Order: sequence, then C-alpha cells, then structure tokens
Amino acid sequence: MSEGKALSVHKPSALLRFSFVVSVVLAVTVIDCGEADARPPERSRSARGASADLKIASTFRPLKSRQGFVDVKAREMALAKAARIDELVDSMHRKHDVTANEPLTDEQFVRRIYLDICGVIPTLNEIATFLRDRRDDKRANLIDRLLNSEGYVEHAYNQWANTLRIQTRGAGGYTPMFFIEWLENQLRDNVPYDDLVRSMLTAEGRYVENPAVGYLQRDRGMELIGVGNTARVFLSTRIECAQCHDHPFDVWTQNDFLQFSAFSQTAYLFQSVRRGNNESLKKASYKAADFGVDIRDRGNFGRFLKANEYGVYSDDELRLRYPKDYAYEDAKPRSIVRPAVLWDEYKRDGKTWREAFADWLTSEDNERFNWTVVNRLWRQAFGVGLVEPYDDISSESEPPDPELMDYLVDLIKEVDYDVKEFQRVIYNTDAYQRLASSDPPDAYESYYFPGPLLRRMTAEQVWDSFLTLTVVDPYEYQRPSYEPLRRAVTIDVDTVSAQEAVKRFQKHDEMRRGYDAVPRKYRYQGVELVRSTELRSPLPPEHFLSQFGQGTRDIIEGRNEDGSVPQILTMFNGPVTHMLLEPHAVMYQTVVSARDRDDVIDRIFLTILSRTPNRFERAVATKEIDKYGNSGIGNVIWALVNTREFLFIR
Amino acid sequence: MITRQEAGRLNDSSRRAFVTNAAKSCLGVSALSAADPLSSVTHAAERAPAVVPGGGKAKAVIYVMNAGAMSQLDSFDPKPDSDVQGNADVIGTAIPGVQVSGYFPESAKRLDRVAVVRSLTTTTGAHDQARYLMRTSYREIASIRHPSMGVWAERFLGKGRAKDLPASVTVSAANRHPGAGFLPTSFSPLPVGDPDRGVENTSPPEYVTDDSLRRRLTLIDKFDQGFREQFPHPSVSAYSTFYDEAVKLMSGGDLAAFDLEKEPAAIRDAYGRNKLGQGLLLARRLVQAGVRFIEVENNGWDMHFDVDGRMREKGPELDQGFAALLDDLQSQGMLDDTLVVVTTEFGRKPGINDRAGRDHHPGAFSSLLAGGGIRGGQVFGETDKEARSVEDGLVTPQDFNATIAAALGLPLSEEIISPSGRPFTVTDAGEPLSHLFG
Repeated sequence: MSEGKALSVHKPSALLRFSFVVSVVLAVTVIDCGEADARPPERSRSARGASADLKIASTFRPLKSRQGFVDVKAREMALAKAARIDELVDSMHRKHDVTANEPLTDEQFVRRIYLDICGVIPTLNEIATFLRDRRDDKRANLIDRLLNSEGYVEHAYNQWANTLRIQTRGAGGYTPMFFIEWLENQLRDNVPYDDLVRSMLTAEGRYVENPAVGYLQRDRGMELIGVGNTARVFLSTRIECAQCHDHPFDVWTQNDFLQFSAFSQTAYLFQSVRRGNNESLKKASYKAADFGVDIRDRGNFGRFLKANEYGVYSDDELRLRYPKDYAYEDAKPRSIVRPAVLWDEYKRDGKTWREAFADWLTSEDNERFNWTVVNRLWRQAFGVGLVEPYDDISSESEPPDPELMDYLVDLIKEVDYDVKEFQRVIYNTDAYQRLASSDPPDAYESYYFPGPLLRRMTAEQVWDSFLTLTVVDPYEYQRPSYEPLRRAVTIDVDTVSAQEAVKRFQKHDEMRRGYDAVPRKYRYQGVELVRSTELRSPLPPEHFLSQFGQGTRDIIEGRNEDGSVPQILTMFNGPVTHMLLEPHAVMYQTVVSARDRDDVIDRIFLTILSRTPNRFERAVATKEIDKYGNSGIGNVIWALVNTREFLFIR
Repeated sequence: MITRQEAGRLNDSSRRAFVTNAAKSCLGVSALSAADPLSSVTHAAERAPAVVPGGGKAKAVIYVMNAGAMSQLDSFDPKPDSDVQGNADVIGTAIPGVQVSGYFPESAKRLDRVAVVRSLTTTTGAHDQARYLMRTSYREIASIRHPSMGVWAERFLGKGRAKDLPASVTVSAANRHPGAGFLPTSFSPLPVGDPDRGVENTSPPEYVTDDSLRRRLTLIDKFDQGFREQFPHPSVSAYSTFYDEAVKLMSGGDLAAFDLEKEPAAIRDAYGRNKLGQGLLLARRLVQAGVRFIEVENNGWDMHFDVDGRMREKGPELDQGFAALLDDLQSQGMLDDTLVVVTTEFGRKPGINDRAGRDHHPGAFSSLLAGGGIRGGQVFGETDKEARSVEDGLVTPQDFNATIAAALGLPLSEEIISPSGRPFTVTDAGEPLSHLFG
C-alpha cells in the first residue's frame, strides 16, 4: 500500500474541506462533516492526506482461512503446468492455422485478473503498485495474492449462487442463510471440488445441524426436478426432458431418468415433530398458547419448530415407484424402481443408496464429472468452454483439441480437485493472458482460443466495481453471521421439554429481529451500498443488479450479460452514478488530491478504465476541463463510466 | 417514474431535437444502422396478405405468460365429475354448457368474447425450456437464441406506431426472456420491471443542462471510439441502440405512456392493485401509445404445495385483471384490433400430490384468446376425463403461436436466415387455428 503515495501528492483545495473522514459510506460521511470541520484546519489537513490515501489504497482483504491459501512453494510447479497448457494451445493453433491474439499489457492484465478472481476492478493504488513493480514474476505474484483474498470467496460465491439458484429468502421457517454461510466457508477453505459435491449429495440429518443438506432442500417439493438439476450442474447432462417421457432429442428414456432418480429418492426432506416420540413437544406444537406463547406469535413459534424439522433423512423403506400412468413396456406402473446410473457401474458396498450414488458421480473415473468441472473453470477464464454447450454434453461432444482436454482432466486429478490450484495454473498461461477476441465463434463450433472471448462484466462485477469507484471501503459492511441464530434455533427435538422449547423460541425470536436490514448508514438515496454478496436475492426488477442481468435465481444460470435501455438510463441518471460525483466518493477524493490537471486526467482514466488516456483522449479531456472547470471534470467522469469499455472485459 | 412537471420540462421540442441529434451522431448509432441491413426495415406498408381468412386484424397483442405452469383443472378445463378436480367450485359461463373453475367468475361471464383453447400440449415439463418454447416456438438449445413474437413482428412489420417507443415491451419479465434472439439486439423488448414504477431514471439531475448533456454524450462517443473500433462485437454494437433509445426516452414525451398515475383511481382499482392488474393496465396504455407487443409475466403458478390455497391467491388476480382488460378494451373500441392472450408453459398433474399440490404436466393445458379478430364464445379442443391428455384438436406451442402470428398478419412461411446461416420461420411450421377467426 505504501507504494501508492507517489501518485498522490496532496494539494489541499477548497473542495477538500468536505472530503476527508473516516467513514466509509457517503451517507455517514455527510453526517460526520460537522465534526470534521470543527477540528483545527492544519491538523485535519495533514491527517486527511494520509487517511484519504490509505482509505482508497486498496479494497483487498486477505483470506480469513489459512487453509484456503495457495501453496507458495508450489508456484514453480504451477508455472510448469501453465507452460504445458501453452504448448498444447500453440500446437492447436498451428494445426488449425489460428493466429493468437496480442499478449495483454500490464494495464489490461491487472484489470482482467482482478475482475476474474475477485469480481471487481482494481483501485488506483492497486494499479499503480502493479504497474510500478519491476519484478519478472509480478503477474504470478498478483495471481497468488488475489487467490488468497476474500474477494476470491465473494466472486466464487456469486458464480455458485448463479448455478445453484441460491436465494436468500426462505419460507415456512426455512432460511437458506445457513447453507449460504456453509458454502462460503467451503469456498474460503478451498475444500476440494469432489469433496464439496459429495458433501452436498450425501449430507444427512437436520438442516439446522448440517446446513449442507440445504443443497437438496433447494428442490424440496420437486425432488425429481432436483435430480435433473444435479445431472445438469455436475455432469453437464440434460436428462430433465426424460422425466415425463422418453427424451425426444437424446438417448435418455423415462426409465433411465427414474432409475437415476431412485438413488436420491430414498430420503425424506422433512420430519415433523408431531411424528416423533417427544410428547411434550408434540403438545406444544398443537397448542402453543398453553405454554405461554402469545397468540400473535403462534405462527412464528410454528416456524421455529419447523426450522428444526427440515433435513435429509435417509430411510431404506422409502423407494421410488413408477408413476401410475407409466406408459412404457419396460416396467409396471407403481412398481419399485431399481436404481441405475446413466453410464459405467456403481458400487453399493454396504453404503446407503445416496452414498453409492455420490461415489459414482464424483469418482475420479467418471469422465463426464471431470469434463464438467474442467470445462466450467476454463469457461470462467475464457468466456467459452472447451466443450459447448457447456451444460449439455453428450457422447457426441468433442473438444476442439482432445489432447488439451485430456491434459486438463489429468491436471484436475493431479491437484486432487483443488479448484484454486487449477485456476492458478490457467491464469498463469499465456493463452489466458492474451487480448480478448472480438468475433464470437459461430455457435462455438470452432473456437480455437486465440484468446479469451470478449465478455460484458456480470451484473455483480458491474455493481461491485461501481462500489470501488465510490465507497471507500466496500468490504466494511458484512452481513452478520447466522451462526448465533443457527445455534439459537436448534433444539433437541427428542428431549427438549415444551417449556424449554418456548423459552428458546422467545430468545431466538428476539435475536431474529437483528438480522433484518442493512443499516441506514450504508444507504445512499435509498440504495444499499454493500457488495453484491451481502445483498438479498432475488432483488426487485428495478434494482441495478437486476437491470444488469443478475436474474432471480429461479433457474440454473439465469444470469445474462445483455444490454438494455433501463441499464443505460440507470448509468446515465441513476443514483449510483450521481454518487460518483459526491464530495465523499472515492472518485471525487481521487481527483481533488491530484497534483494538476494532467494528473487529474490520468487518475480519472486509471480509476475508471485502469489505463492512462491516449493522446486523443487526453486532448478531449483537457479541452473539456479547461473550458468548464469542475463541471468539466464531472462530465469526463460521467462519460467514462458510461463507455462500453467500462462494461466489457477485454 | 417521471412527474408531470418534469415531463413538461423535457417536452421542450428544441431540447428533444438537440439531444436526439447528438445521440444520432454519437455513440456509433448511425454507423451501426448503416451497416446493418435489418435495422432499416421499411416494409411496414407491404404487409403480407392475411394468411388465414379473418386473420391480420390485430394491430397489437397483450400477451400474459402465467409463469410456473397454470393448472388446467383449476382454471379453464375443469372436470367436475372426476376425482381429480380438487376442492374448488366449478361454475357455468356465458357459453352455454361450458364450465370453468370457480376461481374465475368474472372471466366466466365474459367468455362470449373469448376463445378457450383446452388442447395445448408441449414436449417438456421443465419450466425454463417450456416457457422458451411457448415464447419462440423453438426448443431451447445453447448454440442459438430464437426471437420472441414481438420481435418477429417488428422484423416483418417494422417499428410500432410510436416513433420514440420500442415496438415491444415486457412487464415484470425474468431475465431469461429470449428477447431479440438472433435478430438484431435493437429489436429487444424494453423491459419494465415494476409496472407501478414504469421506466425509471429518465431525467438527468437538475444541474445537467441541455448543453452539458449534449457535451456528455459527445464525450462518451469520443472516449468510446477506440474500444468500439477494436471490438466490433455484436454485443458491443448492440449498446449503440440502447444508448439511442435511452436518449430518445429522455428527450421524448411518450414517457407518459408508462405513467399509471395518469389513470383514474377507479380504473386502477378495477384492474386490481397488484402487479398483474397494474401490468395489464400498463399494457393497455402502451397499446394506445403505439407499442405493438406487450408481454406481461405473471409469476407464482408453480403449485407443488397446496394448490387450493395458492389458487385462491392467483386465480382472483388473473380473473379480475383479465375481465377488466376485456371491458376496458371494449369500451375504448380497441378490442377488435387488440389480441389478448393468456397462456402458460404447461399444465399440472391431475393427481393431487401428498402436499396437496399438483406437479408438472406437459400433456395438456389451457389458454385463452380474445379480440384481434378472434371470434368469442367458443371452446377449441378437448381433453380426456381427467384433463390428462388431449383427445381432440391437439394444439402444439407452434400452432398456438401461429394463431397469434396469423392474427398479426405475419408471413408464416417466410424464412429468415440467422447470422449462422440457418433458416427459421416465425413459428417453426405451426398451423394456425384458422377457425378461431371471424
């Protein structure tokens, strides 16, 4: 951070009078102004210089889990593997007569790598630090540094939330928040991918005690559809059409679908206390009022009990049966479905059906499982999968270069499904560190990866990058941990007395109210200025994130990166853009602490586009600022955030 | 949403010309239009002759997508004599001998203006794929996106009557709407999230004068130039159109069309003060303003749990909104040239599950058509005694869409070549239900 100082020689100006302080978010800062002004001017000025500089230096937060760090000593090995991928990519280019794109400049690299790993553009000082660094291995250093950050967890979470359809609001006493925190911690600890998938598929017990069961709970009430979702997400295989009849366009029959589903349909997702043996609790569940629960709280008490009832409860007696209108010859309606996998063999080995299923699915030998993870991670880096459509792989799917695919599959196995290590290798390749291609491949049929594909930022990337331009410390607000609430809500349903349950309910109910909303001080004109991961989901359609395509997370990967008119209107006139020009916004502070006009222009370009202006752009900006002074500066800032260059990752 | 005063301020015609011209010469808009053969569709006048007798009368379509899959048994195809009917009443309608579920008393009284289609069937019980199929007539595949009906209409008939409004609008639609598909992104429907809020952020802050707004637009154009030239990517150039439309909205008076405050409270109440009701009212205002195709998405029909309880919520909303829309269109003399469509992605299982809900059922489902040349008071197609499968007059999503396309007078067999070189038609060989017309 200290390197940042060279760029920020402070020239106190009249504008600065309002601009320093402490606090993080504009709304607060405005309130704090009075106090600030009351201080002796000289002292505050010097303090201001230092503090403002520190505040805007970095949005970087080190990873909270030691376990999740990449191994520094393994760097050489990662680089050797990256070099091997480059050999394969180069030979693919030669074979198909493809010319690779230009290598990324440092300016382009620093922006792309922040966006791809942390989901956010770098700050002015982060860029300056990187550009000034003269070491040969500075790119590899930065990759490691970012992989070891909380930004990594947030960006990875946003990807998963889009895939697993994670919404924050539950119903009937169920809150997805425990699952969300569990998943975030898995990502933070960098738990191997196969273990993570296995945990979600095999998790057993009550949700309040084992939030991993939240994966199956997501499809409670539509469990068969959930099986189709599992196949699509972890095997890139589309079998959902075979749920009701033989797949019209693929090889799957309805029987295949049902047999495949039969493994997971051996568990209940809900176990009512009314069916248990705890007579006292049963009574309370029927007549809460007898135990001192206020009549108005009856519903909440019911939900409190229900929170303890969700889970995944395996039961060998429970077996899937053919539907009574089953129309094919290969089985009788209402007969028991014998479990079978889609390819290869499963081994029961005395395990539960669900464990046997997970063993098969996540097996190192399950090629489709390997292809899926490798392809998804490749796609995250390059914008296109090696195999497309990435979520509809069939026996006919062919990667453009089988050797490259084989190598990547070997690699993910070699690193034991360590996603972070795999990404470390990919981000260190020359293939990744090339300029994006502007021609989208036709139906992805023949893309030989001259470079990644030009992409618009995801909704979350646009939003979080906006925060970087405005809010001094966008990480300051973290939603409160749900761990205390989870502990408070958990009762032992077999032994707890009704009186004790009611007491626990009342304590929990009080605590619950504390989780309601983002505090006012983090709001600006009604907009909650907190990072995308801290916001609820789904958001209303008029929210910035919805307009930029976040989606409601009702369907798998429902996010999109298309443009729209409301997007432009929001960027032109919405509160978030006004905020940039407020005296306490990072953008504003960055400008007022510049040396001179040229420095102002450099800083604006670096902060918004992560690059310095070319001669033409500098002339345009200079003319505007010389003629219109401060409002000219505002216009330049406004115009730059409204360029396409801001929204696209090149 | 824009206030009356602001509208007055923005309506200044000199400003409009000023800003729109700025946008024209900026932001790559004119460059794109010249390069793109599809963006200058001028065939509006050379409308193809109606492909079915009585078709071609609809000048606009209000299309309601009941997302989540509406139960046929609990709406327009009840089977009072079967075990699967559930608890709701079944009531008579304005068509002698035809009954609907008791959740729809107001619609029942107006069925003389409606054609009920009871024999729809589809190929998939997965929501997003099925909705995609209903909206585009094509199966969703990852390698191409197909256009939705409003976009096809713009392709063949040109922009709507309204100069400064898009030809199609979606209300409350999820992000997964297929939109323009492979046709130019400039044909994308304008998404309105919340009907009560209309199109937001249409006025710049007070301190931005006309002059500085124009300068700002010029600055974007200059700063953006290098990037635009380096990356002639379709999704980059698509933004040109969005800039253009945004600036038009900012400088135009047509914004009033989005402002429900301009409707008398009694009318707003009549439609129902909920998202669907207000969405339908907004759709009617947009038709009046010259928008051709408005899709209103109506969520919440995925009733795996407690179908009765959920129908008690959703049924009356749809009933009230639909009835109010029919009455309103009729009293304003708009029903003859406005087609109203109420549809969904598939049906629900006749059997009630152990959670008192109904699961997915692609085999049979129902929809409504009214106005725009459709003859009211008829029922098309028939299902078996449990509304499980179609017995008579099977209608595919393609056929259903061909009927809508025929009402609009679109050329059903004309092939349009996608950028990837493949030919597509509006409804993929769907056969219009021609005897619904006239």
